[in-house]
Amino acid sequence: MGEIINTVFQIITSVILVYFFALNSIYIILILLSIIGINHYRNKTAFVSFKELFHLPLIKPISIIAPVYNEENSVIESTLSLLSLEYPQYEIIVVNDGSKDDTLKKLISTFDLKITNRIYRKVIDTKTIKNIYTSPTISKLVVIDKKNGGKADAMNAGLNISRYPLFCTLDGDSILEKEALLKMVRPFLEDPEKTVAAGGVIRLSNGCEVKSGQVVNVQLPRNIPALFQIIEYYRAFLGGRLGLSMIKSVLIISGAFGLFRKDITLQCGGYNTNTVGEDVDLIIRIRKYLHEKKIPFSIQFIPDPICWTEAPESMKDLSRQRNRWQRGLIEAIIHNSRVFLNPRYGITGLFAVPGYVVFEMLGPIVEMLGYIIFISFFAVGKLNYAFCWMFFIFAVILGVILSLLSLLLGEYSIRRYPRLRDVAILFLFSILENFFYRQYLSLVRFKAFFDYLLGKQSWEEMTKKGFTKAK
Amino acid sequence: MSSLLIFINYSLIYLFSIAISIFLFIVARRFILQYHKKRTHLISKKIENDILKVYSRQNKIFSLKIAKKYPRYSNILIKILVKHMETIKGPGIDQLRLIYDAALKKNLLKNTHSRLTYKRLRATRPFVLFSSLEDTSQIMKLLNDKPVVRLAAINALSRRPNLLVINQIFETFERDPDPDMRSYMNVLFAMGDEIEDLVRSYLKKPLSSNKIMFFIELVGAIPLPHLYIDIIAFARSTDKEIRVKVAKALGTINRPLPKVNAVLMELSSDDAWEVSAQALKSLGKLKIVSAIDTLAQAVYSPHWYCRLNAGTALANLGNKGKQRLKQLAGQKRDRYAAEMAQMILENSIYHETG
Repeated sequence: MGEIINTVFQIITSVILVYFFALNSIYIILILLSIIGINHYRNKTAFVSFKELFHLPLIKPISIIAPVYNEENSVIESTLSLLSLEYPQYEIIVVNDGSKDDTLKKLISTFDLKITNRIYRKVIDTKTIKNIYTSPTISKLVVIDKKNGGKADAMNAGLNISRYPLFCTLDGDSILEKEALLKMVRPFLEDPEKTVAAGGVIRLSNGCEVKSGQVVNVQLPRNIPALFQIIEYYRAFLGGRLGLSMIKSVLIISGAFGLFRKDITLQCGGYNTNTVGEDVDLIIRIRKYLHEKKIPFSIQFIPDPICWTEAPESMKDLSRQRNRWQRGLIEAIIHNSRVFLNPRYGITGLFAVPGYVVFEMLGPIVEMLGYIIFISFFAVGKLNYAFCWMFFIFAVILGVILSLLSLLLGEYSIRRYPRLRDVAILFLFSILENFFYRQYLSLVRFKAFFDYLLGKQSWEEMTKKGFTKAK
Repeated sequence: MSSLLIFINYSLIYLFSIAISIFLFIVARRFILQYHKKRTHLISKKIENDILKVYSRQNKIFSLKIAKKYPRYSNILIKILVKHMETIKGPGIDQLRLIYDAALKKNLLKNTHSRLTYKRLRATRPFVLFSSLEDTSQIMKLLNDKPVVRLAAINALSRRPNLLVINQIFETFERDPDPDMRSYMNVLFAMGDEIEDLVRSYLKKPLSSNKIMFFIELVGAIPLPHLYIDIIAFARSTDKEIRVKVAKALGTINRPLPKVNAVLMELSSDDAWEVSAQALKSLGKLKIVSAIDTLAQAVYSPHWYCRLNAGTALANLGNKGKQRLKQLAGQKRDRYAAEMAQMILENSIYHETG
């Protein structure tokens, strides 16, 4: 019996080791691909003036849909940021998803909103829309006040009201760089038939100074969880998604900043309201739909347009956010399980979805399994200390190298942190994140599995400070 | 255990050296970039000064001397030449061309043939801007290249139209069995009224419906006011899509033309609601007050878009139109017409007070 248990443990240990090496190899490959991607992009845009797109007659107008829920601290600044965007024709649809605070009141008083009798087509079913407001002074601004139905429902309501062929999703607490839309729309102009969606880089506004809806001074926050998240965002956006985009396998275009073709989104039924991972779910469904219809498509990630968003500053809020993201990923993958390893869905079915399942969805489980085995060996006195030490050090070294490479990617991006002191601080945190922060988040993501199994659907509120104003 | 300690020590040294190397790389890169920026700024200033001298002297020998002066800084020279080419007019252009031909053309032409997309892309803009007749075939290749290169070529063409190349594009469009309308539209739209004669001659050719629609759309998009009479002939086409394009293009006219009004009135009662909706919209854009009854009647249309466009058109007519919208909003005969009229009135009031 003892031997059987021993063999089982050996097999599990080997699986974990193989998994560990595969995971880290893939991360390193993705980061290397990203470095190539960034260079490629810089070469492509070296002689391009994005403002020239203004002159093109067929540039497509964009509806920006920004759902807000209890965002009274940041909604005005982010709406101002949207109003200051450089783009020939766009409308801003702010969807107040039944906020309990003064979000709507602030919007009404700041922009002098009036109730309008706007007629629209209800293509997707949503919770009741109470009122639609427009501003006499700012014709491009529309505010929808509706009953609370979650982010996906708010997005669907915005889609119903929107008028333009492209729509941009944006969180109500986000700030866009002025040229962000011009940069994002470029693939839709270059290849209008194939491009169905594009995602851009999201950076953290914590610590930065904001004036008239624009980030004017890029600075590091003083908050420790936010500092860790800066490195994570570099890794996720500049490392992961750009690398995946290079091999045509992007599955996530963040709900915080993405540009989509409206017709394709509507044909796929809009956002799924039964998941907290509506952004992943939508991309998988779009891919699934286009594979089924045998329509060639392209989903791109662009390393340049930047959206600033506020990260949670307490571990409690961070845990809630990551728990929700993990549940969202699990839900989206389970809802679309037909795609998994199905050759009918091409690279989506054979590589992108399995990749996310193995390395993103199951990652925390494998990691926890590793810890359990470690404790079990320790308890029965069969722990090979030399091997454990070596493995631990190797894991830390790989983790640190990945974090440092992410910082290097950040260095190649625009709007980097200007002071060398900031770079040194980020270096320190990129080493420190491997000792407690990562393990803690793995635990949070592991817990998300149980929350998913228990049917948890909530979208907990997050405490937000709002943007720091420039003095 | 001692070997483990050695392993740990080496690992930590390895980790430390990697971290330090990356950090030093970042620091060094920043310094190099800063130095490079300063140097580029300095060289740019020098080249700018020389280009200004070229303009004032208008001397071929001097221009050629300047062309040979900066062989190591061709990238900076390209940027400056491109900037000047896009902004100046007059005889200075010939001097710029001399510099371009002597210093850059050979390399850029080579790069437009490169297998590397980014090389072709970077060469496209200056190559197209400074192009001459002999470069036409290569420009056509760039216009049929990957989307990103194509867009760069279109942008460059739109900055400085080259009629010889444009003529070639028209011929290619005529021959093209499956043209990418969007690309052609982007290229030709940017040429403005310089292509008026060419468009007129092509409207008279026996082209396919798609191509005819393309030219009608082009007339309205630029717009080309002398060609409205030419497109009116297509208002009786049996092809619904062509009639839609005519109705849309006529709505962009910016001067009174009775024939246009009559055609739009006729199209507003077309059997196809798509044509009708477009004609109603155009009547509103042109603010044709004599169409007020037609527009009011169209607010009762069973088609949502016709109701919307007719109502919006009435609002565009000013007070008279709004009075009629008020009546429509107050009537009880047709709820849909009343709701549409009310919504348009509210919207127009908001925008006016703003």
